[in-house]
Amino acid sequence: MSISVICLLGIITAVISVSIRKYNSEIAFLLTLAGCIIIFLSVIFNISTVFDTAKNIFESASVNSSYIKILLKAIGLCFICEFAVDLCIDSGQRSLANNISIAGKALVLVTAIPLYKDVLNAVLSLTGVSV
Amino acid sequence: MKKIIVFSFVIVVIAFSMFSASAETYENLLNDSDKKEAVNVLPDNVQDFLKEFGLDSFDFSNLNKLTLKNIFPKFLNTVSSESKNPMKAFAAIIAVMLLYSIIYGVKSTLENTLQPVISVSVTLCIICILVIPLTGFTETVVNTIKISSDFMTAYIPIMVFALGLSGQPLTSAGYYAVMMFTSQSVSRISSEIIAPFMKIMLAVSVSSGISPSVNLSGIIRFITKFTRILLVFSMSIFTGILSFKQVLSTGADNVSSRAVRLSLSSFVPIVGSALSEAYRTVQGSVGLLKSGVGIISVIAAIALFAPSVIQCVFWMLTLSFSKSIAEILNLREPCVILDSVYCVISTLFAAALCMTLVFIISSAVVVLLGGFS
Repeated sequence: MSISVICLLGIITAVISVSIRKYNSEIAFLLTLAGCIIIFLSVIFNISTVFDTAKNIFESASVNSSYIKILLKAIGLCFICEFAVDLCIDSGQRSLANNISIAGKALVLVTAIPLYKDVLNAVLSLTGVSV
Repeated sequence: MKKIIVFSFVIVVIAFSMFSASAETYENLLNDSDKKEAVNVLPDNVQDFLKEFGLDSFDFSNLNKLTLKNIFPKFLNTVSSESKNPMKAFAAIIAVMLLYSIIYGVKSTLENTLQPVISVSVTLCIICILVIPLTGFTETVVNTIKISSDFMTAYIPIMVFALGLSGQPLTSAGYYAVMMFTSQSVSRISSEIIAPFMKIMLAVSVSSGISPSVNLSGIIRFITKFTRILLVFSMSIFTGILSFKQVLSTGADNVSSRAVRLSLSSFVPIVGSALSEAYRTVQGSVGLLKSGVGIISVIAAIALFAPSVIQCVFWMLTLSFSKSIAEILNLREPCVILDSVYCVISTLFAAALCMTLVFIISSAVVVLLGGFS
């Protein structure tokens, strides 16, 4: 999907959503959600080429591919959380947005735990402490 | 008169035969087991290199085989094999930073609270890419320094013997004392100070990169500066002591050599000057042996340290280029970690270079100052 289509879709969704909101706010929210999902999926589809390139570079450099997987997972988590947080803020659910943000941060850290472990092992082996 | 002419002729023939045979004769006196012991200490790749050019037996006549045409392909091979790890790490770091820059580019749309978490993940990823190969590399450099000190310990008796043969007892004794002290000190310093110090520095720099709130780069920079000053200071002291000692002992040896030549030319009738010249020729040819042994040791030291030094240079280039790219992409956290690791590698480079120079300078001083007038 090209950027012009994405922009057009966004504007149309916004106009319809604003028009409907006066009469039925639930439908307006669902409409906004649908528009956001379509735009998000199209962007993810385009951005996957960047991820594939990064993955190929890692593989050709024969660096442990689990690192790039962790990084991509963390980036994905960030985008999904951002998407959900924005929707919650739009619908006036600030506290829910904050909770999603905290959950996102926690999940990114959990995803990065193998990296922490590797760094810790490297530091311990450098200082001569056996794990 | 006839008898005198015949006697002079015989003496001259003996002198010339000494000239032609002395270097080989004295070279044979160098104990084979000493040479083998010195060469066996070296790693396999250095032994193979020395064997290929026939230098493993300290045979200086094979030095002519070392030509630019022979050496250059070997140098290129070493460069290509030693550059692999840094280049791989460079590619991986660039891939990670490009990904990070994409996220950084859409920062305004990303919620501010998620940004630090993702930057920590990126920094961790860069650390993992860098630290695992660097841990092994640090170990390799420290082992190379240890091997060099073992080689020095095994090589000193050979050089001392060559110096003794060339009629330089004082130079030989001075060289033995200084070099034995140096090799033992190098061994101790490398195993008890440099190795743990480098590892701790690397560990500290890695730890400082994990959290942006912990900034240890100042401490790392201070330690690096201090270590470099210490290395330069020790090198100056070592070179100074060795040079002064060699100048003095070479002067004393030259006086005794001149005294022998004066006695020969003054007290031996008719052929005294011929004998004096023959003595000088023998000294010259044994001096050649000594120079050969010295040069071979320098070649062995260069072959020993070249891979580590080349890889150090490539790591430094990798880290500098990566840091420049991080600065271009305006990524602060990767910059900090790359800068800290660069400090550690540059210190390691300085240590390896210092050890190589200790070897080269010690051999060069003895070879250059050990001439006869």
